[in-house]
Amino acid sequence: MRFKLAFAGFGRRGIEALIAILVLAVASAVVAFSAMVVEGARATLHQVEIEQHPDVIQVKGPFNRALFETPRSGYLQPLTLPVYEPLIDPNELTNMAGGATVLKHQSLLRNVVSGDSFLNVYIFGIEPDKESLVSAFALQRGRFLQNDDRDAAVLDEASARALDVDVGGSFLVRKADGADLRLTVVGVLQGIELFDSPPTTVEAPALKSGSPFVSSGVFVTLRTSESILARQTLTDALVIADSPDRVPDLVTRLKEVFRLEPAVFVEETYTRYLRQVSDFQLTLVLFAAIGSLTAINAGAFVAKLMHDAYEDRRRQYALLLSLGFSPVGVAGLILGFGLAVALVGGGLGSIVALAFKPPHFLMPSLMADLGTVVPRFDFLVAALVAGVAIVAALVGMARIVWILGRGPIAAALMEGG
Amino acid sequence: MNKSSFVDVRSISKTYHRNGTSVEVLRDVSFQVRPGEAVAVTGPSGCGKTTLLNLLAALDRPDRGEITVGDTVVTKLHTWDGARYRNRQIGVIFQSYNLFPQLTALENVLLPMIAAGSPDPKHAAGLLVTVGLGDRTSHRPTQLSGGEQQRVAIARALVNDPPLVLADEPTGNLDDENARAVLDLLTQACLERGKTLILVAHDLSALHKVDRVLELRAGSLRAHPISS
Repeated sequence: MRFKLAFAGFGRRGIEALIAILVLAVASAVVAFSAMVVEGARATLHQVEIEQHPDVIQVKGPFNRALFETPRSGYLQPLTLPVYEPLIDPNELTNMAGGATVLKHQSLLRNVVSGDSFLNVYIFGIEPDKESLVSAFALQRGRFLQNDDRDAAVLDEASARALDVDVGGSFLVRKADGADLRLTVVGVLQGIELFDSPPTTVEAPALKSGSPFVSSGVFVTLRTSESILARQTLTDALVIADSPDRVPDLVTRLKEVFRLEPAVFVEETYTRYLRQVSDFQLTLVLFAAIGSLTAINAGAFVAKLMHDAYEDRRRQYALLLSLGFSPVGVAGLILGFGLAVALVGGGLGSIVALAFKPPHFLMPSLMADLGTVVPRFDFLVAALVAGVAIVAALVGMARIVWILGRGPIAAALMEGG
Repeated sequence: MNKSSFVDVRSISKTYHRNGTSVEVLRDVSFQVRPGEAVAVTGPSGCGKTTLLNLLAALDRPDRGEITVGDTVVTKLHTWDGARYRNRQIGVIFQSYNLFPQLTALENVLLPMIAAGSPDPKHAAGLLVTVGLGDRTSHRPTQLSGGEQQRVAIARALVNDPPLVLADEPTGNLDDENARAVLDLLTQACLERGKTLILVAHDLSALHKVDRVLELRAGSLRAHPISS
């Protein structure tokens, strides 16, 4: 019977309640869709931030032209060449980076004789504990490098196959001083995602065939690569700022450090990323504004309809109080009706938005570079839609609750009758 | 409170303020009603009869004075206690019946029991039989005549077995024949059950069954002889 008390007997006002539900449904659909685009875009931005690393600054020497001149046939002494000129003083870089994380690299190319042909292998001197901050390594067998490893190597499957080595095996690397260094294989990788990998210049074993960037290599600790290259200066490095907005300041400082070394390039993606993100966010603000305006307008309209329905019902609520129903019980009936209208309207709108949402939302031109926006319905969207609907219903019932709660019941009985 | 009285109204005053003007509806009104007594309050329109009933039912508060019903000081009741008081201590009958159109006659009668948390459809149906509507339990108010609706309202007022019944011009919307029948039913039901009845009425000729008549004039009360 409480159901009948809450929902039945509205008469003409019942039609207004139905209209309120429909308006709420349409408004909720618009709000939900806007929120879904905003949520999808937020996810895209998050993904872009992970992939593009706008917080990373690249510091590198000039690309080593000698790589282009590496002979591809004939019998020559094996060579060990840096991929970039080793011009970066690691101490200077670390000092100037302040609290930022510095990933030091020595990128080398080893040109070896394999049977009657040459085999090129990229060797990367890295700091194992830091490198995984930006690059991904999928280990197939063995283990990854540790900071205190000496003369140990982890290499990708393609390079291991080409060198005919496996975990526990070893191979020789010719050092800059002409002596050979035996590297023991401690792990084999099945996948490598190198951040800012150097361009492919010579034929070498590759995990991704045809890629313009190096997708394979032998990874050793920086200490080992220093031994191979016979110097401590770095070929390249990455500086990871505490937060992306600190990048411009760091870039300025780094350029100041290397002002006497014009061949050292300091590059960042933050500026371009920021421009893209700003446009992206402006578009999202537009969507949020559309959603908010719709919510406010429709919410006000729904509140008015609900208010009329409640006003019409005021005498019944007062009568229930006069029959001895507790104020909380009567408030429950009022709230039940409002919440039912709100949730049915909001639910219908959400279903419509979900049913008609495009699989991808195409952002224009520059912003499209950031990636595809996939509208997504998550808890936040559901909470937003429900919140708008519930607030509209609550505003609609506010006056009647105020009158019943504050004024004498007799007045409500008399005015309604 | 006088030990022999069940309802004790002492020096109550009530003034309404609206649009900058004040209207004193009740001025220093006092009276007592004995248990089981049937009292009619009469007077011209706007003299404060309904206001007096609203104060007795804790639907409004007086500006001054005190009302006691049984052991309950009505004028000091808080919201929660007011609801409990109305549910357990009094039954109210309105001039315009005030039935819920979406509910059947039986459901309307059951409402005070639902509020009390102990609905008893058999008891409610029995009361409908008592008021002569045993065959109309599933009818909605719109399917009942005015007299029938008021009889449903009487059953509703009695369903929780309250010691005090307040009736606000229960025959005001009925023709003479129905008015007489409803009044007979109401007074008889109260008399049989030992209820105290305070009845607001316009028409003195219809009041031959009450024990006492109080007349309100210009906010003040005076006893009125019962016409034979």
